[in-house]
Amino acid sequence: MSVKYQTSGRTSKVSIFWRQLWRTLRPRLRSRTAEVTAICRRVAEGDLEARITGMGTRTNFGKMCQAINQAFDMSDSFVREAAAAMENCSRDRFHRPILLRGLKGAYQQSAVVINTAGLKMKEHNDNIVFVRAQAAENAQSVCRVAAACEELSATTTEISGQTSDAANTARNAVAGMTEITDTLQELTTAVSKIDRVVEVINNVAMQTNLLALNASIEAAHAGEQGKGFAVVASEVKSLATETHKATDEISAEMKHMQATMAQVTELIAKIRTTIEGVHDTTSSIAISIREQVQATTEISNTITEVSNNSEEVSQRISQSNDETDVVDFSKQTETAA
Amino acid sequence: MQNSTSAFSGREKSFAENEIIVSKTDLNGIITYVNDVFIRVSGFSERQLLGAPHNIIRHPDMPRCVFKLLWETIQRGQEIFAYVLNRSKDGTGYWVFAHVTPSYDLQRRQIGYHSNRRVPYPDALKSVKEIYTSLLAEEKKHSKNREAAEAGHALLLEMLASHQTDYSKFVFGLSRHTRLEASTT
Ligand SMILES: Cc1cc2nc3c(=O)[nH]c(=O)nc-3n(C[C@H](O)[C@H](O)[C@H](O)COP(=O)(O)O)c2cc1C
Repeated sequence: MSVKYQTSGRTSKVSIFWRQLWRTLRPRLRSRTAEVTAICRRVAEGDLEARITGMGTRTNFGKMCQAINQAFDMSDSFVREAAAAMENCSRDRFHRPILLRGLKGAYQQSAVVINTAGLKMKEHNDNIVFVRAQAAENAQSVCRVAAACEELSATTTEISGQTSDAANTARNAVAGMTEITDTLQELTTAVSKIDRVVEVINNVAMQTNLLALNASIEAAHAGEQGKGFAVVASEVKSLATETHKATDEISAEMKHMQATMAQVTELIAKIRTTIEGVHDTTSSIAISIREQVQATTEISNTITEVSNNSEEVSQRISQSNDETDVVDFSKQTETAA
Repeated sequence: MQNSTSAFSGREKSFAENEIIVSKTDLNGIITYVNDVFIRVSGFSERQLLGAPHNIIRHPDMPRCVFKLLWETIQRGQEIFAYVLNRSKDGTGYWVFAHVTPSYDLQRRQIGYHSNRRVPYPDALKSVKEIYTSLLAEEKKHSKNREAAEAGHALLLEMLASHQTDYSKFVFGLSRHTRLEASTT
């Protein structure tokens, strides 16, 4: 009994000590717990700056606070790293991945996913850089082609004008030839008219000769008195003979002339055919050239269109590299509902 | 350490590859938070670190121009990566690959800075030590701290220009582990 009492007496002394200690410690512990709760709430609200400090490192409570801080540090680090890495990517700077060292578990796994996306972006960007250079080069080439086309268009237009001129000249030559043929025809007609006149003269000479013969017979009948008349008749006869000879000569010359003229007419007809051929050829060349002008104009227009398009492509692609229209992550926050 | 003739050859320690040393500061670089790894590696207690300027772990062999570049960059609101040699309480040096970024409150007001430090990549460290040695040599030519920092800074920019790169690309190019292609598996 007495032992029991003693023991219980000691127990009550010990319990009083603990009770008193608990009384003094409880308010401090309470306020510390409240402090930690408040800090955890801040972090839960997205304020990753809050940390628990001054709780020591040896007690269980201190160790708990350290563990909480470790969780906060990991989130804080991941958020800073991910934002900075992506901000760099958005400025086409791909040298800065999320550093995996020190990131743990799911944080590291997410970082790998983000870095892989970054690598993809880098590849796309490399392609864009390549395409940009290529497009710029293409734009230049197209520009040169457009200029050449314009020149081609100008020269073909000029050639078209010149061939039209040539065709006109050939047409004039054909007309001139027709005129020459007509003139020759007139000449032939005139020559045959002369021929008829010579024939008349020849007839007159023959009749005169006949008359002179008759007159010399009559003069012979008249005897001595007709002697003088016989002389006249013989003179007339020789005149008629000479006339006949002359007309024969004229006839021969006329024949010669007619033959030559026939030859000239034939030659001119040949030349005319040739010139007509030239005219036909130049006319069809002129038509072809006109078609060419149309084709080159069409090419020229198309190339100009292509040139404008490629210019736009180049511009669009270089705009995508503009570092000015970059999202500023530091200024973007989603306003909570 | 003080007796060593060549920089970056002193006693060094390290931390685990999967650990990150974290600290936060106010806008003036006064420490407001350190994580457990920071406390362990630096050798200081949390009580000693909170409220102290961040140069409490500065190593004398670090070129001044690196910190000049660091502050200029973060004050512009940008992030910076840098290989930094720190010094723990017992004088031991430890290399880190530091990432320093501005911190904002929920109203997007800048309230301070944050730093994550990782175990540096060995393939980068060799070049870093070489570069820092020449930067330090350049800075030693000047007696005034500011002039030294500016001279080192000018030399660093000259180096970047000769490689036709910017600092960020340069830092990420130092190790094959920090390239995008290496960070997708
Ligand atoms: C968030 C943050 C972290 C920093 N971490 C370090 C660090 O780990 N080591 C260091 O030497 N300086 C660090 N600094 C830079 C220091 O503030 C200081 O500029 C540097 O130690 C140079 O000190 P000094 O100007 O006295 O030479 C940090 C600065 C900030 C804002």
